[in-house]
Amino acid sequence: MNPARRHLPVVLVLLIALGSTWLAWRHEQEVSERWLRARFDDSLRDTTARIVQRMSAYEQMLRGVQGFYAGTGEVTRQGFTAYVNTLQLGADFAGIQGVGQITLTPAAELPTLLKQLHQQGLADYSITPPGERALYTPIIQVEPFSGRNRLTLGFDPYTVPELRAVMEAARDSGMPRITGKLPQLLDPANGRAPSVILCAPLFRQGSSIRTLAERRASLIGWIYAPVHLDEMMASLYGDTDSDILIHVHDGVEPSADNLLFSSHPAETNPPRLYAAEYLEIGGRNWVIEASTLPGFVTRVGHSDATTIAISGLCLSLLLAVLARILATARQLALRLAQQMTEDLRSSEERWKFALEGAGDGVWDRDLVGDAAFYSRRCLEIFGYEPDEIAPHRQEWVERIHPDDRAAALAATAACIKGHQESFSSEYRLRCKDGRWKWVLARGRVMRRSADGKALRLLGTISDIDARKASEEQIRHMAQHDSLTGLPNRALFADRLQQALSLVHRDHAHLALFFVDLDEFKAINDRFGHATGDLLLQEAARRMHECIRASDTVGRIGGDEFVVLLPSLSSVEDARHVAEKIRQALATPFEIGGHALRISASIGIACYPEHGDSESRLWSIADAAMYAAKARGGNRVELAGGSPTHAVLTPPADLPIITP
Amino acid sequence: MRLKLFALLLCAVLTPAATRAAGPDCSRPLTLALHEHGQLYSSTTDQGIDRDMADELIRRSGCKVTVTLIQRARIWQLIESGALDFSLSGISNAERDKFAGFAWYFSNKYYLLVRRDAEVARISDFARNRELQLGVIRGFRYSATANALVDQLAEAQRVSYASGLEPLYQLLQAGRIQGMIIEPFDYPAIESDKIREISQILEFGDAPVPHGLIMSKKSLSANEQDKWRALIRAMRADGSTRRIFEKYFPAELARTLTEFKD
Repeated sequence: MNPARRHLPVVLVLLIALGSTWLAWRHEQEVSERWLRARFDDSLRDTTARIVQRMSAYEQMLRGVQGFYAGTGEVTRQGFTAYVNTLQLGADFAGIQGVGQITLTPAAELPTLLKQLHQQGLADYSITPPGERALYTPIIQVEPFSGRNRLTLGFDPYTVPELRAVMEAARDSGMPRITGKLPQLLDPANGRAPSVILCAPLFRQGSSIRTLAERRASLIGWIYAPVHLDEMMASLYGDTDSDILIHVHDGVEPSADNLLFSSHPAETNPPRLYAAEYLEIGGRNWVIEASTLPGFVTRVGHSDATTIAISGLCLSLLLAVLARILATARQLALRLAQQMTEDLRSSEERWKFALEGAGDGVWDRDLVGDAAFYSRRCLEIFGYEPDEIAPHRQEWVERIHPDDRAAALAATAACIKGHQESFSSEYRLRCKDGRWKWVLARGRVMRRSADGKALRLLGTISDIDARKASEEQIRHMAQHDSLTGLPNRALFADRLQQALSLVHRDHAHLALFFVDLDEFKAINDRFGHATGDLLLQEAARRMHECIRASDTVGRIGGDEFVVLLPSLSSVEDARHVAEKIRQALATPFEIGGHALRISASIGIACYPEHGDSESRLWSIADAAMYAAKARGGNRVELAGGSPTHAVLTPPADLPIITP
Repeated sequence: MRLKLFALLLCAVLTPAATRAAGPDCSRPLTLALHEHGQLYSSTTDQGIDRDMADELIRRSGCKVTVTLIQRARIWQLIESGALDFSLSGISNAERDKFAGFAWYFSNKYYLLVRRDAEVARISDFARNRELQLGVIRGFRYSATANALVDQLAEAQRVSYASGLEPLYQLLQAGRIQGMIIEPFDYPAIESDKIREISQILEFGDAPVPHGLIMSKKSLSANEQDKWRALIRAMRADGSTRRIFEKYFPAELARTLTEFKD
């Protein structure tokens, strides 16, 4: 695996964790920002509402003065003073510097007015600015009449266009109107801080002011109140957030020139949040600006974003480390598994090589189901290709030779039942071409359940057909004469022993012949051993042709043969067979281009007539054979009796017929 | 015959009393607040549709009603608290329905008055351009699409609040806001050269929104509200409402505004 792919999971985990952290951090920031903004907006709205309420209270105060005039008609100086004193301006109307009255005086009535004022004790009263004009609107009284208020007495505000416009607006609407930032002489706080003037019209008592024309016709003057913004703002009801900068401007476009109030005049830092609200107050527009100060953001805008960011960063790194550990562990596990797989594969290959190199096949049986596995070699042994035979146990069982099947199944069953750890059995299996083939099946139970029940059986199959053939050949060679292929003395003795057991049990008869070839030595000497051997082979074949399948001819010496007739009805039968052999051997032999003539001396011993043991019968038959040979040969001699057939003894110079 | 004469006399005596009983309860002084808003009411001239509607309503009810001028946002607070009985030209929403009853007497659409240099061809263009600020009157609600625009821009801190129309017109001229929401009774101001030169009008496309007499549920019982509704219905039915609107609008527009399905 290349490094990029190996590190990919770790990088992915880190990215996802960091991404989640970023989302959480951003969400927290947004929530915090929204909360900060909401609190800020609330504060601005609250401040705005309180300004409106306070200005409404001022307007209401002027309405009270209007009502005082409407109620009393003629207001004396003393009455006005008493009324204003009752208002307790300093306490409930903080910011109002005083209340004054302005009288609307046509030029014709001015001397009368001045005369009245002088009579009322204002000897120095004069109108400023002086000069002749059609209409005068002098301030005739200001309460409290002290300090800078005294300076405004006699001032004619109509001479200032901005003030006149406000006074006319108040007249036309019948309601209080407010000036812009016009401190001038009407503002006793001039020079100290910005102020505005609240102005309300006074109408003649009892007149109708329903229409504009009626209001203009009924106007007799104004009352006014300079308002010091700093004091007004300081006296607003409720708590003002000291961490929010409030600016009040006249008009809708804030500037230094129209600044009415600043809660923090020295503050110049750019704010985090800013908002403005526009008010219509007394016919003018004010803009209330709010800006956050650092303290507000610190106090209200507390956020866990930093904590989230740090925690998230740490967790992300931790997760990445864990992911790295897990990935490394997984890689180690994969590497180990790969190594184990390779080891297993190598082991399997070795075993396969060992098994199949040795020519063995492997089979594997699931004892719970009926499934079985046969290796390629396993199937090759029987001439099949893979998948050509069904992988089932029963299919296998039916291939076993009927004679071998019971033993094979018993061996397998013993192993499955746990009577023996493994099994090994040899049996024949039917091949694809129908032949029977010897195999060696070995196996053992590889897995058992908790209660000992066999679950899986594993084993091998070896092709032992050649071995079996070889063993058969060795066994045959050990029991037979190599020249004639007849049973040798050992096998013959064994068969004689078995035949004796049977006839003894069945009270039957058997016969044993000793056959000795007459004059064989002379032929052997004369024509050589090769010819002698051929003669012996032909003699053996002829003798074999004279007996039944159940009978046995054996060679026990150079020219000595023995015949066993295990099933005999009578002694005569034995004699008859012996005679038949004698005649067959007396017939000339054609060997190597030579006509050779020999004869045989045959001694017969019968059971039980001549003996009941092997050795007894053996010696009696041998003696009978010698008796026959003593009588000239070429005859059959029954033990204990005369020769069954006398023949002429062949002459020593037996003629040799040549082709 | 005597009996019939007595019955007639009895009816003559009782009928005025029965009529009075069907009208609103005037046993206490009532309060009604106006707010400055275009042709609805101008404190400068003390005239406007709402002023006329208030006068006619007071005359028909026979009640003593104190009329004051209060900012719109505060009017809703006072109606909710029960300190104020009536106001005029109010529109409803789910929140206001909790504390106020309404008697509809006109219906109109809302429009976006937008500066030409803002290059807004459709309503959606306004929201899309993040540089544009919308001016609204605090406490005002509009038609559904207009409300959605206001809420969307408010979330993005793109709304400037004012207590009335006049500051908004000034802000629009100063370029501090690029749009504001208006109604037909704001047309005269728009017809002024200064505004007309720099602005254009876009329609929100919502159905007309009914406006009506606002009644405080806290100070007026449901029965009393029904009586005031009956008065408004009567003013609509006999053409009084339409005639009031015709003082301020062309006859066709006045008919469009006042003839709607209640």
